Amino acid sequence: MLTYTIRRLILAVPTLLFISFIIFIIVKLSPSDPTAGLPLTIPPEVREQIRESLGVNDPLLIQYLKWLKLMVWDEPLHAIDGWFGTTWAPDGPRIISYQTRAPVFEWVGERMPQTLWVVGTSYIVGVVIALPLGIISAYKQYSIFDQLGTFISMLGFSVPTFFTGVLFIVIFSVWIDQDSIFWLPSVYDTTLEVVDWDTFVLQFRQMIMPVMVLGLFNAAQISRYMRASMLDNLNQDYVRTARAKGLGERTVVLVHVLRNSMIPVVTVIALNVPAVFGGAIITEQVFKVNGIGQLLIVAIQAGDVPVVQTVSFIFAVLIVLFNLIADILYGVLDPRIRYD
Amino acid sequence: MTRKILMLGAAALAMAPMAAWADGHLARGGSGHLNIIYWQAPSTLNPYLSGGTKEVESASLVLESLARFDDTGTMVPWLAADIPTVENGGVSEDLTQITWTLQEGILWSDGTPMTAADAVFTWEYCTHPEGGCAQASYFDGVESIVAVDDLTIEINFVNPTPFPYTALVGSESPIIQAAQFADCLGARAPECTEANFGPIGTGPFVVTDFRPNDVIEFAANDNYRVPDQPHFATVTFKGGGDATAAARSVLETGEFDYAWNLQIDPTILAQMEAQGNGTVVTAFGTSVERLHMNQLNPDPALGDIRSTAEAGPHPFLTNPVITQAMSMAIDRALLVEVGYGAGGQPTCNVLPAPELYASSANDGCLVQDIAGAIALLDEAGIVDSDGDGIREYEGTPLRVLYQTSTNAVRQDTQALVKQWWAEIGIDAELRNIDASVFFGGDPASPDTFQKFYADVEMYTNNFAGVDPQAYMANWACDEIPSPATQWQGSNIQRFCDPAYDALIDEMAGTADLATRGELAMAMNDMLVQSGSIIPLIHRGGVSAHANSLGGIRMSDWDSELWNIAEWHRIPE
Repeated sequence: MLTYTIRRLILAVPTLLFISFIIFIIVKLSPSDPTAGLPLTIPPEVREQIRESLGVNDPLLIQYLKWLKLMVWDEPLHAIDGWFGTTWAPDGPRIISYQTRAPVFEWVGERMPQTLWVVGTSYIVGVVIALPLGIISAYKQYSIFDQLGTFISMLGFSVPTFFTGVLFIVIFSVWIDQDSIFWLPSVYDTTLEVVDWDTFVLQFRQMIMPVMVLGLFNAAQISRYMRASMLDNLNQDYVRTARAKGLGERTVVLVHVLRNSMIPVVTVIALNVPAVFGGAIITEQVFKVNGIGQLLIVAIQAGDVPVVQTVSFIFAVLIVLFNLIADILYGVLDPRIRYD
Repeated sequence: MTRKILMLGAAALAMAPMAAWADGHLARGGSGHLNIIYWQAPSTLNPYLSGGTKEVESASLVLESLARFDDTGTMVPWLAADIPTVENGGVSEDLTQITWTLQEGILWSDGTPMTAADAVFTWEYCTHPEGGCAQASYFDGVESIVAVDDLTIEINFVNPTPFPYTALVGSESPIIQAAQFADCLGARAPECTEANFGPIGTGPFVVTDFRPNDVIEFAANDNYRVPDQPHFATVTFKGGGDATAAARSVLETGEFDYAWNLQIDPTILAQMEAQGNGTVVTAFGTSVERLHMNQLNPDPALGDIRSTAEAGPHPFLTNPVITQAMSMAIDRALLVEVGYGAGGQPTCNVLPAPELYASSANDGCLVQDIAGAIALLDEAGIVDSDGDGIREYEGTPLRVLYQTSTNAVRQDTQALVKQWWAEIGIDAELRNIDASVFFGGDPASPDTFQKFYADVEMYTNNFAGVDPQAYMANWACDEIPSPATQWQGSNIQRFCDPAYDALIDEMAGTADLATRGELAMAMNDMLVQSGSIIPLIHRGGVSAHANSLGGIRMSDWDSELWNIAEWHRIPE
């Protein structure tokens, strides 16, 4: 298993290099310009000077290699310095955003908490809802519960979050009076720090809507996988054998069937974890959560190449990493699978 | 020095309760907390490094300039004691020098005094060749800025400058603190993240927390020069979402007090306003949505030379009769109703404001006249000779390619205009291009508004401040974009008239305001009557504020938030 992991990690290096180069080329070749969003009152000579100072006019390969060196060497050192208080990082330049002229990683770090809070919680909520829903739906196939579960998950799957989000806002922020305890804020306050009970309540309230909107979507997806996987296993011979041996129904379903059914579901859950870090572009926009998703979309609109490239690269790393984790979990869940 | 500050502080503390007795809401900080939402969030608070409206306006809470423009477009002294003019001796007779005097006793928010040296430093900062300063045009033609003494700033111009109120005037050209930015000149500007995100200013508020493209927290500046201002103690400046959501948060949910730039469907905005929580406000500056009619030939068959002088004149858009008919066919009032609501007014001028410069010679276009347009074309012998419903001019059918940026309102406008033009026998093919490409100015892209590989294009332009001299000079012959200039240049419709260039020169040498007004009107009329520009809509800024918020005097001539120190909560 260890050799397998090491082999996969080594193989990831050329993959990531290739991905980073492709991202760079796509972003660079797209006809976007960091000064495009400026008012027309700013004359072209000044725009040219701005582009020059941003280094947009350097040869493409130089720009890429500069970025790569900062990405794999300088920035990790800065991160280590930040965590452990060391001073290893060189004084030189860092990856600088065109929009803020400030280090991209500080910006990413600032956005991470709200994204993890909102999108992460919604993922957990989604999984917590989805697993029992899928298990019961499969065990009581074609019952009222199953029909209802199918209906809700189809709804959650097919209604887009920009619709459910705005619908929730209209119901809970506009129709319900602000003094009511059911009223929920439509704008997420990223500066709120949870220090006592009152701020916790505020944080809880402002998270309800975005978490529910995203959680519904996640639950819909995962519960379908869970149900399908359970159905596959419920009809297997070993289940009949277990029942024939006189095992209780609870043991049969929750120990034998569930463990076997979890294998594909765990893969799906693990493979979707990078999306948590990626934020939820639409839901973040709707509720003004301003996490990683909003960072990326604004950077794309502003032609902010360093941010787009860095954030996309982080996603690429996470996706490669979680693919590996999913494969390893496979082996843990199913002793028959061995990679060595 | 420290003692003086302490005494000032003590005086302020002593005065605060007195003001509070008079009216608690109008004391410094007496109105509590203010929530502002800008759906496009600021990415830095250094307006010299960004140039975007969102950055300039958020920074205007902190950074100030010598003079600002109020809601009527009138210049008001801000950090300066008064406005220098030729009459009061502040501007030299030969128009090459202006001398500003700072008010006495102005302190930075860190307690140190502001001096003329800060103004000089600001000029050095923005004109540094490696800095990429976004507001460098404010210092165009400035030969030097000299600190005569602590309070006197002397600005020398290379040439006589009849309108010398550009450098260090208005929200886009504020004074920054020399002490804070001393190590941030030129290429080192990006290293100063802390300064760029939290500039020290003289304005009513100080930055307490800045998160790029997300939120800014401000608190009242204890050293602000007006004792009872700002009336608000703290401000949250939130960004993100979209215009509709921002409008909703003020007009429907009431979570925010002020929302900016609400260019949304006018009927939706009116419905939200009808809920009674807030008010929609507008301010009109110089923004005009217009059609540029290409005066050079953009025929794709010409390949790389299309839309350049080598391609020759446009086959029919250079004929004023045709463009006049195209203008007459448009119902501007309906365009306003469909797309702009309170945020637009029909206009026939490319220079609709300030009042001094607004011509009334072209107002005939305000009323749609399709029959008149048809008659005009018929009289000129421009008729449909082959029966396909499209008129021909000297054998060329009147078919135009009409392009603009991708935007719901613009596409509605395009569809309506196409229909009206069809009624007078002119066919339009519509095209829309993503705004970041269209306005992106990439010389390699064929789709930029500068290249103008089309017959007609539509967008909005305006000028900052109140003086139209530089703006009107946009249409000089040598401003025509071409491959030789990397397609840079502001004469987008490729209009060229030596008589117009002569007027530009004349304006550059005229100081008298009334004569400048006449010249500007003459230039406006010349442009519009040439048919090379068809003005459509005078666009204003649209914002909304909660009904409990008082003191708002929205200006499109300066930052919308220019008088935020005077904003206050109206007691219920």
